[in-house]
Amino acid sequence: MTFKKTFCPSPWFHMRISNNGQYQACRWGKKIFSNNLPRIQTESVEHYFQHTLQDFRKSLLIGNKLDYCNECYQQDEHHKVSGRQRQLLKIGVTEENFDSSLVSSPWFGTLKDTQDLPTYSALPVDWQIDLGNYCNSGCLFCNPKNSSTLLSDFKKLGLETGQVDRNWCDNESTLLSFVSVLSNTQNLKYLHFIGGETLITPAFKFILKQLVNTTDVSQITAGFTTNLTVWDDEIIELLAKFKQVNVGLSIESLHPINDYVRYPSKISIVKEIADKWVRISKKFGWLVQLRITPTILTVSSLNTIYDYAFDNNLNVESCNFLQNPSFMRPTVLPLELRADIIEKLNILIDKKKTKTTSRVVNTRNPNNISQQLVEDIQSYVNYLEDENDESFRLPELVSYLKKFEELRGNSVLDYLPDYEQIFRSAGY
Amino acid sequence: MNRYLDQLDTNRTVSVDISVRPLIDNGIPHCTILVNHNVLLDTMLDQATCVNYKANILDPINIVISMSNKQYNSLRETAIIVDSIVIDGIEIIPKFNHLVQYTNEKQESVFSNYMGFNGSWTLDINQPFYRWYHWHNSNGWLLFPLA
Repeated sequence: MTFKKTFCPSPWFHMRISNNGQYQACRWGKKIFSNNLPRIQTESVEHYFQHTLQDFRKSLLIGNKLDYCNECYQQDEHHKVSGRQRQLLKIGVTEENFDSSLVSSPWFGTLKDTQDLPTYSALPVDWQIDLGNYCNSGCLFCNPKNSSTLLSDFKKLGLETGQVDRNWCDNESTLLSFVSVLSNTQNLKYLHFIGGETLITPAFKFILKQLVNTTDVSQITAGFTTNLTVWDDEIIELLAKFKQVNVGLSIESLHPINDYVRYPSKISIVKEIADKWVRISKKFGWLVQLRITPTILTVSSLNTIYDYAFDNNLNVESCNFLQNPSFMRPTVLPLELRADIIEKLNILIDKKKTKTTSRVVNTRNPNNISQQLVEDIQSYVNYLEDENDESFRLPELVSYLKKFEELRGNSVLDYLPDYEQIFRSAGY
Repeated sequence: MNRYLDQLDTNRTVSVDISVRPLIDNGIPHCTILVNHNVLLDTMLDQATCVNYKANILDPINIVISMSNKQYNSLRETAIIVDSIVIDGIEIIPKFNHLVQYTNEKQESVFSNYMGFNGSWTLDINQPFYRWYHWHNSNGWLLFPLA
């Protein structure tokens, strides 16, 4: 791969803190969980960002293709707007004019200097803050690290939970020291919070309150993702003080299958709360995005998401193509069953296609939403057409679903009767 | 594979291609084209003409197209039409017509590529082209490193 295809500036201005306090170089990077990696309880944000990450930056500068960045490479391959491209755009670099826009970037000199310096002097201005696994949903594609409900279910079912550490932000002094880093960051630009479920996580409100009280939040954009099962007026009041708010609404489908996958949500309530966010965001000028994680169970009704998005002029975003659990990937669907889905998506593309030819990388530009949606749908068409058949994973999927169905008293066939044959043949 | 070190050619240039054409029903207009104060054209414009300028990639780009010698006549027109401005392969007009300053003797404020009055049509790209393009192409935030 060429430098143009591998380089990413993200670690020069962005980082992530995971649920257990472990630092990650990037919100889109491969999730690595290890007791040996630096975390907020043992290493300061400053040290991690300015010292520890420096070798990672140098590795990007010499054009290495990094395993850590594979999910972005995969998205690039299917012409889905990747995190790498989004981060490049934030320093003024586009794929079409890579060399010229890189030389013209305000970061050109800073990047150059990194090659020779043992440390870096700035702090991240673009954060992803994982607040822990408090969650009232037990989404089937999620995991105990990110959902306390699922953790409880896994234990009841005797499933391997993996190591689930205590949430870093349960410790008030750690939380306060983190907020202090944020307050002391010059030109802090963007904070994106995820859970668990943010609206029921005390640390979310705590951080917002602290920042509102100690910092000029009128220069900061806050973003968060919510599962559309709860509402909190106080959080709305706090968010309203920020410069801008990006609201991520987690939903997979407007079809009742959403209830099965995002158990125990109810699509009527989910839809009602989604409509409420759309209304309030229009009032404040906030940006709403539908955050989806297409799986084998929901990809067939993905069109309902795009219909809702077109109707309400909302963007749709997924961080990546689902990797784990591998048996829930859309590619587990046999090729012959993908054809109908591809056709439905292609019909939508034909109906909504715009004449613009240049690609939209800034997916937060509300003026290009229609084109962005068409491009995003196209990336799923490419994915479903090009990725290998992984239907050999169906027995593993069926076994997993059956365990949860015993606990939840439901049946996937009530939601997806068309899949009965493939599920039966895989042991359902 | 190549490396960041291979991208260090800051001496690269961007090509500025400007195409103009006259309307000469009521006489031939005089046209001058300046880019960064360099005179690329200074002539009686009786036919469509293209000029080119190579600007350093980090230089601002100031384009001034002027028309003089128009005799006003309500029945027959003399004018200059800026058919295209292409910078490094990117079409600038009509998309960015709204950023043009048109100073003319009739004091008409028109955002267009049509120069119907004696005067100057100016496009001032006051920073490196790709940064300017980023801002005006709605590409979102442009972060700056802290000094």
